[in-house]
Parts: sequence; C-alpha cells; structure tokens
Amino acid sequence: MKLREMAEKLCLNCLTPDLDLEAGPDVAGGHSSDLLSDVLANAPAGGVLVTIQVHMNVIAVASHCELAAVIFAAGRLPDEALRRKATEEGIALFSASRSTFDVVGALYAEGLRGHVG
Amino acid sequence: MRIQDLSERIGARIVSGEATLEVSIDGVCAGDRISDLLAQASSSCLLVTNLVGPSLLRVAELMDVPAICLVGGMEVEPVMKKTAEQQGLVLLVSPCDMFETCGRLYRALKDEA
Amino acid sequence: MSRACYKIKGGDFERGGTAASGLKEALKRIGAEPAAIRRAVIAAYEAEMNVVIHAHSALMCVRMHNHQVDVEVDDRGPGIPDIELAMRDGYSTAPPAIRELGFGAGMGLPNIRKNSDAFSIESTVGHGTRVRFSVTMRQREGVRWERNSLRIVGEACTHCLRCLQACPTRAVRVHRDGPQVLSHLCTDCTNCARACPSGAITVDVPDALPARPTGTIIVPVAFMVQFGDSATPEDVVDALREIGFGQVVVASAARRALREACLEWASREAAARPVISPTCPAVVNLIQVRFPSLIPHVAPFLPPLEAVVHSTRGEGWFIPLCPAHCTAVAGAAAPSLRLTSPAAVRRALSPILARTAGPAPAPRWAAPPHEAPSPDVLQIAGMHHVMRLLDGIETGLYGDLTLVEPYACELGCFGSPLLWEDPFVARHRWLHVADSFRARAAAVPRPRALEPREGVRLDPDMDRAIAKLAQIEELARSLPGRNCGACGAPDCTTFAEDVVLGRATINGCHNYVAPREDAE
Repeated sequence: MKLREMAEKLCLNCLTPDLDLEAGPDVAGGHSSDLLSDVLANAPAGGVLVTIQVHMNVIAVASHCELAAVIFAAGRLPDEALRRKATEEGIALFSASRSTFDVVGALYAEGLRGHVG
Repeated sequence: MRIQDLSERIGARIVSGEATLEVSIDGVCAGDRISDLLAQASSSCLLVTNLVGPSLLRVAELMDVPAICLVGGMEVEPVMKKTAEQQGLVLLVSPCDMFETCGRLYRALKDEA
Repeated sequence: MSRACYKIKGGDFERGGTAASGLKEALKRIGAEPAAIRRAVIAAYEAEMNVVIHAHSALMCVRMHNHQVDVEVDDRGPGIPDIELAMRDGYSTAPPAIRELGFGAGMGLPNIRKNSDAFSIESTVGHGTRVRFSVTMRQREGVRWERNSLRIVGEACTHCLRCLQACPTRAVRVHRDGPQVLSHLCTDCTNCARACPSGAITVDVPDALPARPTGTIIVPVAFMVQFGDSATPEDVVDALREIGFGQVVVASAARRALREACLEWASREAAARPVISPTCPAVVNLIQVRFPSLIPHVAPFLPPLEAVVHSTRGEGWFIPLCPAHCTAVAGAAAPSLRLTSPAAVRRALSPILARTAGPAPAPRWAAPPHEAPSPDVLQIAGMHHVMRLLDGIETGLYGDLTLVEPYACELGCFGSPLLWEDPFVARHRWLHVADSFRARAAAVPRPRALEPREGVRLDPDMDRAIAKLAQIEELARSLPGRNCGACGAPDCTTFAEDVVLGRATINGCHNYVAPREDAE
C-alpha cells in the first residue's frame, strides 16, 4: 500500500502537499507511541508512526528511523515550522480527527502490522 | 466485551486483578500522554500504554478505569503489581507493541459488534 | 465552608496525585454529581502534576462551599514568562525526561481551564505561579425516608451486638436501653431481626384477626405451603373461606405477571441492562438508599404484593411476610387495608386443617413450574449476595445478564422470618403445585418513579455536609480503629459520624476517653 492509498482509505488530511505520495516503496509497517525514545528504538524503517505528539523532535526522530510518514491522531495539528522541516526531510505528515486507537485499528485492518513479541 | 476475552484475543499475560476479569469493556483508550489519558478514560475502558509507573496507576484510580494493558512484554515491578492489586485494577501485559496490540483489540471489538 | 490543604513537593512523582485523590473522595461523600467530580478531579490532577514537574513546592488549598469547589495552587518555582504562550494547546517547556513519563504534552493548563468554570493564573518569573480554578456542582438529589416496620423491645436486648454486624447499611446502633434502627438507612431487610437471639428486634405486624373475618384476603405464595405434607394449597384456600373470607387472592399470578413484564422490558432497546426485577421491596429500598445510580436498571413495575393490593383497590386483609411489605403497604395509602401476621392466620386455620388432614397427596403436576430457574433470569437471594451483585452491576460487571431477581431473604419469600416451615421444603412444595394457580394478572406500572434516598449523605445542605465531613475525618483519626462495638456503632468511622451528626457523644468510646483522664 502506497501512502496515497492509505490516506484515501483512512480519510486522512495531508499536511505536506509538496511531497509525492505515490513515490517510494509500500508502507512497511506501523508503530504507535507518544514516547520519542520508544519510537527511536522500535519504529520500523519505511513504516508509519501514529502519535499525538506534535513536538518538533518528532521529525528528528522520524528522520533518524527513516519513517515514511507520521499520522497525528485525535485532531492534533503541528505548527508550520514542523511541517516545513518534514517536507525538507521527505517525511509525509497526515492528521486524523479519530483517536490513536481508531487510526491504528483502521491501519491494522488494511494489513499493516506492528512488532509481535 | 469481557476483559478476560479481550486478553485472550491479544495473547496478553494477566499480572493482577484476576478477580475482576468479568468486567465488560466497551472502548479502548491508547496513548502515552497523561493529559490525553485523563481526557479519554472512563469506567468502562481499557487503557493501552507504553507508560509505566505511579502516575499511570493514579490516572486509573482517579478515572475509575477497570483495566490497563502494558505493551511490549514489559516486566512489571513488584511495587506496581502490589498497588494494582490494592486498587482492584486489572493489569495485563501484551507481548506485542502498541500498534499490534491496538490492531488486535480493534479487530476483536469490531468482530463482536 | 470546608477547607483542606495539601502540600505538594516538586519532583515527587511517587506521591503526585494524592491531593486529587483526596478531593475525589470528599466530593463523593458530600453527594456531588459524578460529572462535576470528574471535571474537578482532572483539573486538580493537572495542577498538581504541574507543580511536581516544574516547581519546588506548593500548597494546594481546596475550599468547598455550597455547590462550588475552589482550588488554589500556589507554588514556589521558576514562574512562567509568557502566560499566553503557556496556555496554548501543545506548548510545553518540560524537559525530555518528563515527556517520557507521559507529561509535558502541553495540555496541562488548557486542560485545567477546559474542566473548570472559572480559571485564573498569575505568575512572577523567579518567584512562582498561582493557579485558581472553580468547578460548580449540583447535588445528587435524594429524599429523606423515615419509615420502617421493625419492632424494638429494648428490655429484651442482651447487648450481644450481633445486629451491628448483620446490618448491610450500618443502620443499627446498640445503646444501654437496647437497639436503635436509623430509619433513613434501614431497608427493612430483617438481617438484624434474624441475627437477634433474644427477640429485641422483630417485625412489627399486627397479630389481631377477628373471630369471623370478612372480605378479601391477599395471600403471599409462600404462605400456601406452610402447612405440612398433607394440606395442599387448595386446602388452605378452602380453610380461609371457611373461617369467613369471601375471596382469597393468591399473589402467584402477580409474580408471574411481573416476571413476564420484566422480561419484555429487558428486551427493549432502551432498557439499562441487566434489568433488576422489583420483586423484593427490601431490595428496592436498598437500591434507593445505597445504590441510587442503579435506579434506571429497576423495571418500572410494582412488586407483586403491592400490585395485588393496587388491583383490589386496597381493601380487605393482607398477610405480609416481611417489614418491607408492611412499610410498602403503609406507604401505598390504603387506609382500609388491614394487616395480619402469618402466625395469627395460622392459629385460625390450624383446627380446620387438622380436621381435613388426609394422606399426603402425590405431586400432580409434571409440567415444569413457571417460577423455576430460567436461562434468562438470575435469581439471587440473601442480602450478602445481593449487595455483591449490586456492587458489581454498579461497576459495570454482569453485562451478560438479562434480568436479575434479587431477594433479601434466603430463597426469596420462602425464607421470610415470619414463616415457620423450612424454606427449602416450602419452595420445593410450591414448585410442584405452582402450575395449578393459573389465574391471570397483569403487572402494575409503578405510579411514581423511584426516588434516590438521602442514605449516606451527611446533610441535605451541601455546605453543611462539607463541614461535617471534615469533622468526621478528623475525629476518626483520633479513634482507636478497633471497631469493637462497645460504643454501640458497628465501627469507628461510623461512630465518628454519629458523634458529628449528634447521634452519639464522644464519651461513648472508652478508648477515646481514657488517655485524656491519664493526662489530668
């Protein structure tokens, strides 16, 4: 599944219009956390992060983990500086009005998986 | 859906509160921000979180939350287990990470509905 | 007005939240409505954790007055340079380590404002910050109840204190001149009367029955099977006619009708499940006193005996099986209805039934009796079990149950303290003959909705309840906590409540007085 398809299926609002959502490989997996150290340690490269954390450091961490995209759940919106940074780093940003749990559930239904212990 | 059934569906380990596994859950509140958990939590929801520690149990106590599911196969400290027992709180540990745990819970609740 | 202060220490994540917990307990006991409690607790917790995260120390002062709680948190800390910025959703200066604990999402201050009705903040950089907020709250409604039907014979009391522990709502006290029952807490469940070995607490039922009674008599089901193995329920009906009653109405049809009406009610979309059948008036009392939040679960019908009284327009005679029946009938405004105890009727019937006694009849009805266990109905009996059940329903357990029929007495009315036959035997007999009583009846809708009772609320005025709560807590701390019962109250906290509410004096506690005498 490409990012565009994911965005359409979940009715996500794209916050980085300058990025091409068809480019790049399929989304590799999912991760959900609001703790940046956890994201840093466990998020899968090429995956998508679901969080309510809108701190600037999210992009630094996402870039380090080579995430394909970040979805801000529960209606959280990052500021302009964060969006600019994400565009520069090539990380797609989306926002969703639904809760973290609902967004993750919908991604799971589309076949994305997390880490199974 | 009963906590007992939910915990079976996600393959979680039960750490405390075996007496109240019959409690019914009608929603899940997932997150790692205390304020967010406070706002969403209710007496019929399951908290799923990466957090551990006294603040988490405090939120459960204040909001009358019946059950918490920790993720990533986390080890639970004896102090936390004891406090949870005292509060009559069900404490589960899922072997999977938050994403996988939420995904499975979502499917379980949806299957039921 | 009551005032409580809590010290908060910066950096103490272990104890962070204790002030909010204290506030929650207090608001519950003064009877604030649940939604207001939730808002006040969220705001207080956020304020408390702000201190733990950012400041050195603080004092949180909570003032409760009529219909409002004011919280002021005054901290010594770094202060906030730009308050407008700090109030913005998502803005936070918390260091990464704090964020990893789940705090510092920049939602604290906005969350306090969102959950309060008045909010102000002032801050001096390098000195500290003061946050004030108020939450208005309405009182949970509740009516005072002053009726019960227990008879107290003080002289008979041997001060064994068994009744103290038996009462599920802590309504009994034992004084020098015998037991006292606080009627606003009493549910007429008869646990105290059962526990009493000396007859100091019994059920208050008129014993009198004239030599030649006339009119209608309403007879509860359990009474029909109290006359040994040879007298069938038909024999009992015949004997009642013989001593003079024109019409004998057995309440079995009303019980059946209530069960059917409750099942129908439970099948509706709008019903709060599990539905609780109002079959036992003592349990209905208990719900009004102790579990007012469950009132929506109670099916809106009258208990069977009240329904029969209603349909006979409140005339004739009635055999109550428990004080809850007596109280309910007294409250049903049926002045021409006369009560007589099962024992009095037994005395009148005995000679007749002795005469007609023949060989024991074989059970004639093979069909399964209607009141036998049904997969959709949970029958539960005994106050201890009923309390646990209601507790469970209140905390959201038992979503799998459709209809529950809770009874205060063991085995339901067959276990009435006014009957003499073993309840298991009586019930067994009834199950064999139940189907012969096939009369039809309809459930009677409850004319007025059930009201929550004042119950454990300390004072109808929230302001005074607040002040009393503070006094009770202070006094309870200085009591020994042994719950010995020597003061006449079931435990120390209840005794503290009695003292503050003027029902007892502090001299009642021997252990409390002794140290003061030593000091003199």
